[in-house]
Formats: sequence, C-alpha cells, structure tokens
Amino acid sequence: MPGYAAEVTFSIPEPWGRLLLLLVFFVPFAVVGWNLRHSRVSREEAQLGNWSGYADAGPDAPGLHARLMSRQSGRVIGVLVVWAGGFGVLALLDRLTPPAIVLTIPLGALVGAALGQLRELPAARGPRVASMRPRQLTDYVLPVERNVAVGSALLPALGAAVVAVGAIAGTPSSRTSALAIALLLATIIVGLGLGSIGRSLIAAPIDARGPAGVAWSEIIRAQNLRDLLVGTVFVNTGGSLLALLVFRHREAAHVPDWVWAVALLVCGAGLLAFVILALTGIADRTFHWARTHALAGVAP
Amino acid sequence: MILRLDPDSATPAYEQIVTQVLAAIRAGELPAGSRLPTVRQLAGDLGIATNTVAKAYRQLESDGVVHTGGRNGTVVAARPDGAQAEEVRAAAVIFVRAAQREGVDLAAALGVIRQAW
Repeated sequence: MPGYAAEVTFSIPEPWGRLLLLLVFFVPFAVVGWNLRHSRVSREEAQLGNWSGYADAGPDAPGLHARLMSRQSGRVIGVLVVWAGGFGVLALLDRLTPPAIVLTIPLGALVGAALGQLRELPAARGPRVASMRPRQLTDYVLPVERNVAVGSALLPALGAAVVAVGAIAGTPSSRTSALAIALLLATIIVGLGLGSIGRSLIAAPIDARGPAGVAWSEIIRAQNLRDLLVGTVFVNTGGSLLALLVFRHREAAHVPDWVWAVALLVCGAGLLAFVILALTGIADRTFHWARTHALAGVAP
Repeated sequence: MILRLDPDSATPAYEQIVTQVLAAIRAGELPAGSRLPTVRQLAGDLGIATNTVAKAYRQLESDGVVHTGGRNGTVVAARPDGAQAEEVRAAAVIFVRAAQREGVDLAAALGVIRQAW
C-alpha cells in the first residue's frame, strides 16, 4: 500500500512576513515590560528611601508612586515606539535589525521616561511645601557632565563644516551632500528637542507636601536629567558620525582622506565623552552631588 | 530651607511667604547673597498664583530684605549695620532687665557676657 506524504506550504509576502516575525518578539516584550513596571517602581522607591535619608515619602508617597509609575510607563512606551516605528518601517523597506536602530532603543527609553515624568498628574489636596532655592542644571548633575553634553553639540557643527567644505569643493554628488546634511539636521533637531525636555524637567514643579517628598522628587529629577545628558551626547556623537560615514561611504573614491580623519576625531570625542559620563555616573551613582546641592537644607 | 504653605490658614498666602522668609533670614538659613527661586518656580511648587508670590517678593524688597534685578534674580540683601546694631541693642535691653530682676550688678553682668563670648 503506497504511503501518503502531505506537505503544506504557507506563503506570506516578504515584507509582511518580516513584520509578523517582529510581532512574535514585540508582543511578549511589550507584555513583560509592561508588567515589570510595578517591581521596578518598588525597587526605585527602596533606592530613593536609601539615598534621600527619608525611608518613607510620608504624605507624598501615593503621588510619588504614581509619578514613578508614569515614568516607567513612559520608558516602556518609548522603547515600544522606537521598536514598532523603527523596526517596522525598516522591515517593510528591506532590513530586519540594522544596528543603528538597536542603539536608539535606550534613547526611546530615556525620552519616554522623561515625558512620563513631565506628564501632568492630578495634584493631591493639602498644604504644599517648596524648597527656597532656584533650580539649575548643575545642582542635579556635575558641571563636568553638563560641559561634556554642551561640548558634544559641537560635533554636528563639525560634521556640517566637513560636508559644506566637501560640497563647495564639489567632490561628492549633491545627493550625498543632501543626505549627510539631512542627517546632521535631524541630529541637531533631536539634540535641541532633548535640551528642551531637559529645561522642562528643571522647570517642572515639585508638588510635595513634606520634606521627604521634596527630597525624593529632586533625586528623580536628577536621574532624569543625567539620563537626558547621556542621550544628548549619544545623539550628537552618533548622528554626526553616521552623517560623516554616509558622506564618506557613498562616494569613497571622490572624498579626500581628511574626511576619515574628521570622522575618527568625532568617534574619539564621542567615546571620550561616554567614558567621562560613565565614570562620573559610577562615581556619583547614589546622586551624592544632587543631594548636597539640590537638597541642601532639605535632606535630614 | 523648606517653605510650608497652609491654604486653610486665615493668614494670606503672601504673608505666610514673607513671614517664613524673614524667619529663615534671621535664623541664618538664608544668608546674604542667597538666591531665591523665581516667582514662577515658587508659585508652581506651592500651587498658587504667580501674582501671590510676586506680591510677597515686592513686600520683601520694599522692606529691604531682598533685592531684585539683573541676571541674579531675587537675592537676599546684606543686612545693614544699623539693623545689626538694633538687634544687639534689643537683646542687651532684655539681658539688662533679666540681670536687674535677678539682682546682678553691672560688673557681674559683664562677667556673664565675657563668659558667654
């Protein structure tokens, strides 16, 4: 008796198949990330209790819990937006996991967290307190961190100068120059956007009822601002380097070697900036700077 | 320094701010040259109108306690010598009265001051 062999083949159009594959990873990540928010908030509350000197936020505890939860939600949504947007578009175009998009996931997380921090929550009723000092960036992060972030803004300008000189010299095609300039413009716009979010974070009111609430809120503000500075350096360095690489790669034969030298300089400066930020972040991981400056006269 | 505002108090909010800032300056919590928060920041933190904070700052400025201007914003003013002397004189009067009540003569009272110096 002859045997039967059956074979069923499903065929999904190529871009949609890639999208489906993305969803297979996307949905579990979204569910797990969303459900982990509570445990992350609990961990953050324990850390804030240790760092601030106030084990409990007292009457501000419910409001701060809601604020931390909003921040965690923003973080997850930020990652998902980058994932769904960036990966989805690229999957539809042609590629599945280009490294540049993977690197933007932390950026989505920190921007989402900052927007979650800025999200307006209903203010609790009752007498409020305020710290009688003006807020400024260097109360929350070390001056060296601020200077590194401000200095990194020179990198897109350096990239633009290289592209402009190349375009004037007529070495690359106008299309290559336009692409590099578009990337640099995008870098500058995202950098300015991060700066604007940072200023909003500094200006955002505390909405606290006791010294513990003020102390906790100010440490959260310092965390957000430090994350944003790292993001700014990442965008300025990564965007500038990408633009220069596009400029060099597209018309390698026509672009002089000094473009490589400038690209290496950008890469080196970016690396140095990250090393400095990493070292200051490690040295000040308990936010001692913010506690002694932003919380002078507040912490017990 | 932490400023507390009680919205249910009969004392107007701007007066609460003035009183607490004055007390903090006297206690040395806000030394001369300390910058105060901007009107907008303090109003946002306390959840009150910017006009209320502006009124308090105007009151403090007219009392000569703070001065506003330029890029520095609102800054605690240095205490004039006269004000310091006035405070010392007032404390001396209280001390002398207490000494007289207790029957302490001038020489003994000066001795007490030397000891406390």
